Amino acid sequence: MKIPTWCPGCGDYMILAAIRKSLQELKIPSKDVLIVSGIGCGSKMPHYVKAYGFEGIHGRALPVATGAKLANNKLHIIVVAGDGDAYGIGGNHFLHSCRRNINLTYITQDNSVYGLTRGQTSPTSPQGMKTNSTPFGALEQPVNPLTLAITQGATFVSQGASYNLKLADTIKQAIKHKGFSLVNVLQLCPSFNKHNDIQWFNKNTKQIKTQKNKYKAIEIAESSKLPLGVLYQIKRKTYDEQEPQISKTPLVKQSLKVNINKMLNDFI
Amino acid sequence: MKFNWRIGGEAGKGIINIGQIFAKACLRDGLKVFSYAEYPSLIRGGHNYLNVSVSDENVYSHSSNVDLLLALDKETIVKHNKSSSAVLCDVSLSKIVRGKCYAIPMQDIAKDLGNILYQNIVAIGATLGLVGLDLKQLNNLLRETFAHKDKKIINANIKAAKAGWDFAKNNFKFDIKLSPMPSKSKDLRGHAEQSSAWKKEDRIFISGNDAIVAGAIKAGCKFISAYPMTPATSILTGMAKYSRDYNIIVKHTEDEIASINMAIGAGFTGVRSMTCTSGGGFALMSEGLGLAAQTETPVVIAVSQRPGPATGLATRSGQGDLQFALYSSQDSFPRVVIAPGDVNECFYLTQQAFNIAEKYQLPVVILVDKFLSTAHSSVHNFSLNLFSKPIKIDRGKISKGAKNYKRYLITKDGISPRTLPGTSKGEFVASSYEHDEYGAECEDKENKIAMTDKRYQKFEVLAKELSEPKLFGNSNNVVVSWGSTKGVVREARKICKKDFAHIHLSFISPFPIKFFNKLSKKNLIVVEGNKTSQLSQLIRKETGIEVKHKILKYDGRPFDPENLAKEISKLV
Ligand SMILES: Cc1ncc(C[n+]2csc(CCOP(=O)(O)OP(=O)(O)O)c2C)c(N)n1
Ligand code: SF4
Ligand SMILES: [Mg+2]
Repeated sequence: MKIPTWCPGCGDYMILAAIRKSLQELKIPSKDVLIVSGIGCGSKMPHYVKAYGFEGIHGRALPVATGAKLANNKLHIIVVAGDGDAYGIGGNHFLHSCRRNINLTYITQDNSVYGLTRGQTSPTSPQGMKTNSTPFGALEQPVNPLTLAITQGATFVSQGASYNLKLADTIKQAIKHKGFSLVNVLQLCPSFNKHNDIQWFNKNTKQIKTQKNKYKAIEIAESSKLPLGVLYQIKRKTYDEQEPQISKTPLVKQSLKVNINKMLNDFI
Repeated sequence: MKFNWRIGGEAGKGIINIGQIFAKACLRDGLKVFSYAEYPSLIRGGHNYLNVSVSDENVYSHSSNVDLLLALDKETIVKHNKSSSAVLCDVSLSKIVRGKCYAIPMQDIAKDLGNILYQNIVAIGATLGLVGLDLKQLNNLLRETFAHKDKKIINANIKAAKAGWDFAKNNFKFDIKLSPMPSKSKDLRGHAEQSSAWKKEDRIFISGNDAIVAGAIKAGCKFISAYPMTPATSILTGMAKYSRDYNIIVKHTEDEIASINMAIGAGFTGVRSMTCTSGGGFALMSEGLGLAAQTETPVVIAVSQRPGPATGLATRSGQGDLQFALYSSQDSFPRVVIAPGDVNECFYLTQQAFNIAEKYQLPVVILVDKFLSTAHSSVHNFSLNLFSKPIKIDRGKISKGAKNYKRYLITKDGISPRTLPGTSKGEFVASSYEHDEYGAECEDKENKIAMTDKRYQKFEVLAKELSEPKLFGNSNNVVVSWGSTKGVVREARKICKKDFAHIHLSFISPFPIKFFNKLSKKNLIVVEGNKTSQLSQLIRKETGIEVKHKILKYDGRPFDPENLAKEISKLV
């Protein structure tokens, strides 16, 4: 296994530790785990976990993971992506994955900045944040990933913090959840986000209880303090469950031999 | 005897469907049939027409000559009267017809039967009456088509056909006569017992897109993710139609970027997967194409061309994306580009595409266009395997995992055995970054060279495996075509006053360099559907041969044999 190359104090180390811990505690064999990522600092994650990995292109981790899940629904698939990856370039895939309720665990490394490209504004940067692409302050209102996920149909919506030891527990619950589960991780990036340091987070977060009611959950998601913990969880049929083609045998285990006559009879 | 028929009318009135029923009736009578429709990019209003060519000999394309124009509205007469030898229409329209006109009170007949819509069937009955075919096959088809409807409706349709047929028989004379092929016709017999009669099941009438669907299903493709875009949409919907019969997961995605990435995810996991699109969607897939190449993940991408740029002509045809298919995405990497020339090739080469994708672990593009995607041809049932030997499924090198497993092991042929997720001791990361033999990101110079060369090595090996293009005929004048123009050139060869040979390219990449080098002394004439002769440019790039003559068409419509034959005869 490679040794991570993140900056000292980077929150990604703790996210890695939390992912490793949850997989260990859930006793999932490494051969049955697939970690899919995009491109960004945090997207190097697959290289540091003993499992199958796919480090794709920027913003496209979810579709790769969706294809893999539908091809082999026995795999445990964890998707990791930065906030730029997840809510910027890959935003479209995010909202469709929520409503699709595909059985994946989505861990987003939300440092409110583009780390790998050295400090530009991101979709979750607070309004006014000065970065090298917004030297006079960001003008847009930030995305609220939790509200977005809830309103688009995600069935498990949670938030963790990279410095918080409860993160592994939240990830474990997310993996166990049947359906699309989001763990938005507030991630320290000491190199490019000096504003959101640990003191700031301690002042501006609060531990919350799980809601079943969408509107209550949104109210909490929209309150001035950032919620930590599993905010919202409901049961809904997953996308993969609704495909009878794979209810018994994963696609990848099915025979390739077919009798084409049934189809060709329509063209006689 | 050959009969070229054209049916035209307002878009949204079922003209194309009704025309296809006529074509199928001819198929069931043992005749050879080719049909092709032109329609605008809108759902109602606008003008649609369908050409159907019927013959007792093979027909490989439509024709610009129209022996009989069935006009269901005024506009059809205005637009096509000039190019047609005779017009069949309702009495109310006959006044504006110049030249030979067969006027039938089809609207009155239809109204008497209870619905003006029956006029289309009256007209089909009349067409069969004119050319001397009986109503047996049409009646069968009407029963099949309306099987789910009320008996009354079926009977009214059958009556409508009969009324049109009787009217034509009693009132008109028409020179072209077709007759059903004898049941012992050797040419139609596809089945093993050579002494028996040909059977209905021996022959099918199918479009290029449906043949691609059939090929994909036959190849064991179990996953397609795509976003609708004309003219590729019917590959997506075709796969969807048969998804429960053949256990295929069909995902209509949020966009084409998702389509290719999902197909790659499925391919990585070990399922034969594909996507389909047209130029605009393929543009969105560019980065994904490179991802498949870099991670050495098998994926098949069917691209059906339409004229561009941007939205271009959504429902028309063209061959302007050859170079786009060859070069899209960053840097250079081997990708396979296959351009089937007819429905048989669509079926067999699609199967080969899946084998190549998995054996060589790279992206394979199947490049067709609106003409081939939508035109229907009568061919022997694919399941008889008369066009080609059956294609055996070859999944390439798959590893069972090993200690110290290297996913991107450098090998002699460049192919590294891959493991599928779920295999123990096979864990690795497929990375879009340049990587070492294990799959770990690696920026070393030597490694970059070794990995690039490795990927190209696979391509060299593949190029040797492929058979050379076919040369039809023997002449110093050689017409070169690729993709859908194959059939039109074949028809042009039949009618052209001058002799020429014909090469059809089905494999564009890898390019058959050696084969072309042997042709450097010939009078080459490239025929293709784009402005800049992209194939000639490719020939020059690969071989240094400067193609002197180019016949190019970029009006959004396919070539037709008559005009093409004229153009060719000027150059040979
Ligand atoms: C299509 C594309 N556009 C741009 C980039 C350059 N790029 C790499 S990572 C990145 C943003 C990373 O930010 P984020 O996703 O938040 O991840 P972080 O580095 O902060 O973990 C960008 C813009 C790219 N790789 N691909
Ligand atoms: S730039 Fe930020 S996110 Fe990237 S490694 Fe450094 S601290 Fe971590
Ligand atoms: Mg970030």
